[in-house]
Amino acid sequence: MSAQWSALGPASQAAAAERFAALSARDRMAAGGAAEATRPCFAQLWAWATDPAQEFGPAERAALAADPPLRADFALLLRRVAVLQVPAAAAAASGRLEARSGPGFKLRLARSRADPGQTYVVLELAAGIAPRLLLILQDGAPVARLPLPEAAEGFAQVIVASDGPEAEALRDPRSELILT
Amino acid sequence: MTAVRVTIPTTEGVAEVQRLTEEDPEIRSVVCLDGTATALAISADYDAFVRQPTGVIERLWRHAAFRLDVSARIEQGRSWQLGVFLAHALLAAGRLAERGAPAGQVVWATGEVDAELAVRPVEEVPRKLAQSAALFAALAAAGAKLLILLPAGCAVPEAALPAGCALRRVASAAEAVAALGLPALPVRRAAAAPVRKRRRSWAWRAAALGALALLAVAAGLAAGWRDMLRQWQGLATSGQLIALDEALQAAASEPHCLSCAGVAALARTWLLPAPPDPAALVLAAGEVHGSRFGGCEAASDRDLVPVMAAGATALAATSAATSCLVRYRAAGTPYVALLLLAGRKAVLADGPERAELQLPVPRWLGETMQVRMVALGATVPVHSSAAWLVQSLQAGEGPVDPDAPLRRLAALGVAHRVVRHQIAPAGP
Repeated sequence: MSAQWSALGPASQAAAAERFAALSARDRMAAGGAAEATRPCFAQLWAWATDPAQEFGPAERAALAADPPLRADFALLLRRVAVLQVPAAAAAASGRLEARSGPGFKLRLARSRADPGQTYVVLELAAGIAPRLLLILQDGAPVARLPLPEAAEGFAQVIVASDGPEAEALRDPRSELILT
Repeated sequence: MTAVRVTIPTTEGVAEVQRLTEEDPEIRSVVCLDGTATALAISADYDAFVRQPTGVIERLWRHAAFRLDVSARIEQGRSWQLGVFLAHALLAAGRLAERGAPAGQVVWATGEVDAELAVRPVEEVPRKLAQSAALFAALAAAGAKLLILLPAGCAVPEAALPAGCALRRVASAAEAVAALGLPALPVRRAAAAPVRKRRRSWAWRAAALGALALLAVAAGLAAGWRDMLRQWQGLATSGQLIALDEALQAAASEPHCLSCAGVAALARTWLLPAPPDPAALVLAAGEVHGSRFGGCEAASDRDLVPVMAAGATALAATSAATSCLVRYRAAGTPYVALLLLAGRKAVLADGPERAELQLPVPRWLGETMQVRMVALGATVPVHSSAAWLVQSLQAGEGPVDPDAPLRRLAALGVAHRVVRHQIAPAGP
């Protein structure tokens, strides 16, 4: 039996998160080895996928890049918890995209006139969709992660560096977008 | 004329307006901290203060999106509105002193500004004055001219005010701008959209909507219809035409409702946008020849060899032997979408006034690639219609045929043009 993560209520989500953390702890104790101790556990993957406050920097990306099975697990987890997914643009697309869209979702990039070094990422969301994180994947690996503010009237907006990894990844047609 | 620096007190300190800039109307107005990418929590409230129909700034100064940079956090409440309103009035008059620029006067303002431009009282004014003591001392030491603006009726002990300041209590935004010697506020006008053609059209439709509401009142169904009409109008103005079409169909087929079909038919007539002339949609395409240009994807317009001049009706075939990239463009109506279809694969771009897509030409192409360039144009945002078209084409089985969905969109006010393009392989 399976259920969409987004279909669960907050209590069920919290209970599931606790259970995953406990299972991860058990796995770590069972493995016991030093090498295993440095491998991100399921609770960490869970936090990377769902917790906007969780740190997710170069070290975390490197850990995933170095471990293809872990990366596959993470990609699978993201697809399970996603409230929206936008696949990589079709093979016909190239160059730099300034807008992406999918059912119930539209994303647009706009360089700031006040400070061209900053770019607005504007998300237009269908009613009832309230993601907290935008993850950007390439070849199944996360390349950037953006915590999102609470949407107001169906719009959420963040500011990123115009030449930063988030803007570059969003403009890249190979990028898959996952909102959790 | 004297430049004026605006300061906005909070219960934790005082924030200085450092910069106020018109931004792309597609973004939401935002308040940023000290020039950084940190958007403050009041940004959504600021956007509502700016953007019509709730906002007063767009109504007065005809722009829908701004970025406001302030020197310190403003976390909540609405007492920032008077200071921010004055910053906009000063910007419009070319008298806002931004960060680092000299100012002949400093204004310290607190108050809420409502939709009628009345200034409403706010709380904690004595505390805000106390928290601004360091600022007042620095201004006094520099010999700066300080004007304190408070809502009318706001009682403050004399001792709480800094020595030597000018104090004005104002009941309206008009009084506040007059206190700074600014020109009178622009005459208020009805809600307006950014495109002139669309503005006229929607003003007419608003009147029609009123007539519809009256009709509904006459039918004794006022409250329910009013909400329904508001919903339908929202769908129409945001360009969600398929959703509007379905809502109108559902209303028209409502059982046991004598007036439903009539009201839905009237709403369909009045709310759907008039379709632009398809001939207004201008398509253009150009290719980059690999031998002419080293980096294909970064090619500028100068590197493009036209395969379809703007306004022409056909594309010349492209050969993978000579070309590495094709760039397609559509423009000509207030809102434009551009789709490239290759089989069931589709890419989409859209925007106000123009849309552009690039297609790399693969060297390894084994057989001729058939691409359909589909441009959509309307007087309302067209993204939702284009996304629906892509979904329709990808959902079906058998040969991809955009004709039926394009006909449905045309009936809803979305014009289109379709042009085929062949990309031939490089050969042995």
